[in-house]
Amino acid sequence: MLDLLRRDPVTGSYALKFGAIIALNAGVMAGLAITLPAASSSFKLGRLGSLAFLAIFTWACLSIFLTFGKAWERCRPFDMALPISGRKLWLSHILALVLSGLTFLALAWGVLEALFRALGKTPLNPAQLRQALADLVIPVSVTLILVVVLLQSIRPSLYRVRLGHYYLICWIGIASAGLGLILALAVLPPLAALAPLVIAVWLGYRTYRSVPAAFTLIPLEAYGGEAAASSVQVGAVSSQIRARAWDQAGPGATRGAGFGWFLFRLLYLKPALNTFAALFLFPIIILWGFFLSGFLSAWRDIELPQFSNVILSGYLLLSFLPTQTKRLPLIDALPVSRRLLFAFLTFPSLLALSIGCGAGRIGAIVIEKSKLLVKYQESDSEYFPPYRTKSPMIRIPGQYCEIAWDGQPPEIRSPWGESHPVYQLPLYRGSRITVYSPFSTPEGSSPQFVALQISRAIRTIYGETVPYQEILNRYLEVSDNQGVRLKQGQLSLLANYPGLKPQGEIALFPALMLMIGVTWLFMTTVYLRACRASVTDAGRVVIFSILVAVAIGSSVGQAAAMVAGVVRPDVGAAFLRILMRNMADATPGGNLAVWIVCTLVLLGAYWIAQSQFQKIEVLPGRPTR
Amino acid sequence: MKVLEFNNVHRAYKRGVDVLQGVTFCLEAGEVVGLLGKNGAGKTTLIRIAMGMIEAQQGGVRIFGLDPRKDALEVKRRVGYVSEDQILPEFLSVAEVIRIHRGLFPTWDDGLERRLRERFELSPKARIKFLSKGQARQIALLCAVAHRPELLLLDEPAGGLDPSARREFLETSIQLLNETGTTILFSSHHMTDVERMAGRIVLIHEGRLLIDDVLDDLREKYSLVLVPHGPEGRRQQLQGLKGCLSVRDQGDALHAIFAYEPGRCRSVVERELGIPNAYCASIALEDMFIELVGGRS
Repeated sequence: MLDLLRRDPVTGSYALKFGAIIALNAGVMAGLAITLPAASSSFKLGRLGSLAFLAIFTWACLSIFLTFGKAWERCRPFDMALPISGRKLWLSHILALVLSGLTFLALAWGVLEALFRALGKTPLNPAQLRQALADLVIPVSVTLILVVVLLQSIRPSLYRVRLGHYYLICWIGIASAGLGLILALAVLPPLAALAPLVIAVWLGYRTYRSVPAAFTLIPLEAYGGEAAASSVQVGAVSSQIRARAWDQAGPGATRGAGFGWFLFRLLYLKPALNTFAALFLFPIIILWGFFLSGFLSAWRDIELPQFSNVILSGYLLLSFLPTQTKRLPLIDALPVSRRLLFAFLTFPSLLALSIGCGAGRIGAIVIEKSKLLVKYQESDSEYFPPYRTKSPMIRIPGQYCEIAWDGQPPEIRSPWGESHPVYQLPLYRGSRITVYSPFSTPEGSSPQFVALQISRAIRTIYGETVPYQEILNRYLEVSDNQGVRLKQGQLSLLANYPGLKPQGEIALFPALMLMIGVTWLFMTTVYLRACRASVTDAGRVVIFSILVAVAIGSSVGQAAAMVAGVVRPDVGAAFLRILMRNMADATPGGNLAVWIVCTLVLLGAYWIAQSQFQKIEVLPGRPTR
Repeated sequence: MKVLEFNNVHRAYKRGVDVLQGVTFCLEAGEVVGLLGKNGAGKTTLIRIAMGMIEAQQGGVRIFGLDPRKDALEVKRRVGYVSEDQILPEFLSVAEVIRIHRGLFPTWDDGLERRLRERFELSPKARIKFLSKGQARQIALLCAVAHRPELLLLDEPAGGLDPSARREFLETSIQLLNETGTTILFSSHHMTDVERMAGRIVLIHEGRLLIDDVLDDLREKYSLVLVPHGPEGRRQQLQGLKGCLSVRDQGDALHAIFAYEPGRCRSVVERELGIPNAYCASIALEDMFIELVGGRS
């Protein structure tokens, strides 16, 4: 049996490496996804929330493995020629799927556990998450067994199930039910897991009995409908019928949009496995773009680390490329420009990211216009901005802060001579460069000073002057402990000054697209350098794995640096935003110039990657010579 | 006019393991050249270099005086290509495949397309993935020739086909050749096919050009000589003779191939080795291939 397990398509293909990459990715992404909402001081996941989140994450991870891990292929055609019974092959395939699935699960959960350990001081309760993980072990394992048995009960006489609509519908149904089952078992008593296990054993036994002594290559009945039948009967159809069919087909040529649709199908939708990938990846890329856009920051006042995920974003866009380059031999002998092909390889992913990011930016701008960007508040968050402060302070979007290159920010003095040191933070621990808020109100500031700073902040952000005396009288008061606080807890300036419109908005969208685009195109260029006849498939897998490792390592490294207090995501983001604002201010044309510069640089990176693409050697496989 | 030129082409897949080691030859317009060589000789690599799919590490290739890598579009519009491992998009129907090719080649000949599809009895709605290997190869050939290419590159195009499909394929190719004077370079392991189609033979062995000659001259000029085993070193003696291309020990005798006609061959062996009346005879292409590649391994 061990030999059979080793020979199984699941364990003997790229599925293992691919699954391992997925598990690592999923672990990191889930870890980040868990830790990021912790920025909100009001965020509480709770036991049910923890269970639901981890169940969804775990099942998504396993679903991807079962989708791409050759679950549909029960044995290789070569094995069919050996004196091994179909039942034995079927059983070993089930075992291989379950064992590989559990291995990936262990890997993904291991990564999660490591992240929880590393981020142990987050406002989330890691003990609760660990408990939730432990609670999910039995439900997930039982569900995995049941789902594997269900999938293997589809056309059990075939050595592989055809990846068509039938399988797709079955798979979506089984996967959805699987998630529901995990969630149900997680809240039910542990003994409830026996029921699906018994069903799995019973169904498995029934299917096992129905597996023939030897698998067949194709089903007994014809499939493929009319088209298949017409090809099978090609010789039998009379020449008149054929001529009529050709007349109906018409003399047209596929050009323009039709040819574009053909290329898109070729590269993204065919074979069916690529459709699965596209169904998974495009929504993820759109959501990821939305996440990076700053919408959540504008909506929930959470400064999410949007710039620090640039490399991970680049990898996300790159993930299509290895499968797509394998489709190129179908088209490369034809007079199709490599430039056109490269455009089809890159633009859909870039477009998906732009849609997500663009929609998020538009939403963020709309929200920012309806909210006051100057806040005077406290925070209790320790690891995510806004950080815990002893007293309320003026908070403004990062781009309105300033950079002190020598670490000596100018002193801020009021007309009546009151002066306080400004609030500044180093770019990273030990850096001389600091980012400071010119509107600091440290502890001990007088109400007049706070009002003056709010007034100055409003002038900077909105370009309007609101006299500080008015702010002092209308919005501020002295608290019991002699601090300064807001009357009724909020600055309702927008209600009293409806004409306030923010100025000096930065061109965040092109900057983000530039950073992600350049990173992604650089990774693409590196991968394409390996697309040569002298590099083996295994060599390309190694190069792709290195790129994955760099992407994941950069995210984990940044998270670790953040937890260790070496860097703060808000400071880095503010630093970049200030640079962007300064660049727009210093350039004739302002943000338009930033858009133009970003577009030109992106086009430059695109041109370099495209040049590399033009040099690749497209092969159906390494020739025998 | 030179249609295709290989000039000192080198290519290695692994450092130190050269697949092609300075191959040089050219095809004139209207020539039909058979490319021979045993498995791993470098035939596929050579044809792929001509198509611009692989780059030559040294030397160069010109098609119609153009670089197939730099002027890929211009070259591919004028070339037809069929290979054994070439696959058509499996999700398309026959009609869709043809429509795509029609859109890509400005010189597409609808009349020729109609003739071929009637000859091959192709059904427009049939999906590529449901076709037999022979049918798929027929569509590949149709797509490769219906735009009236000036150069046709065929890399073992009939490999894996049954004799009748192979014959059909060859007859179509020959017919097209006669009609249009297309230049053809094709590789094959079927010597009968080569003898039916080719006017000239290029034999590659271990990445080097071994023979480049007109087929009729090959039949007349090359001889097989059987020399009995004799004193030690006879094999080396034979190999050292001028005109000797290869020597193979076949147990009963040494089999040598000479680039001379049988009469001259006999006199050379008698004069140089002192063996009178050695068996010298013209040789069939297939035997020559076996003797040559076997005798040089």
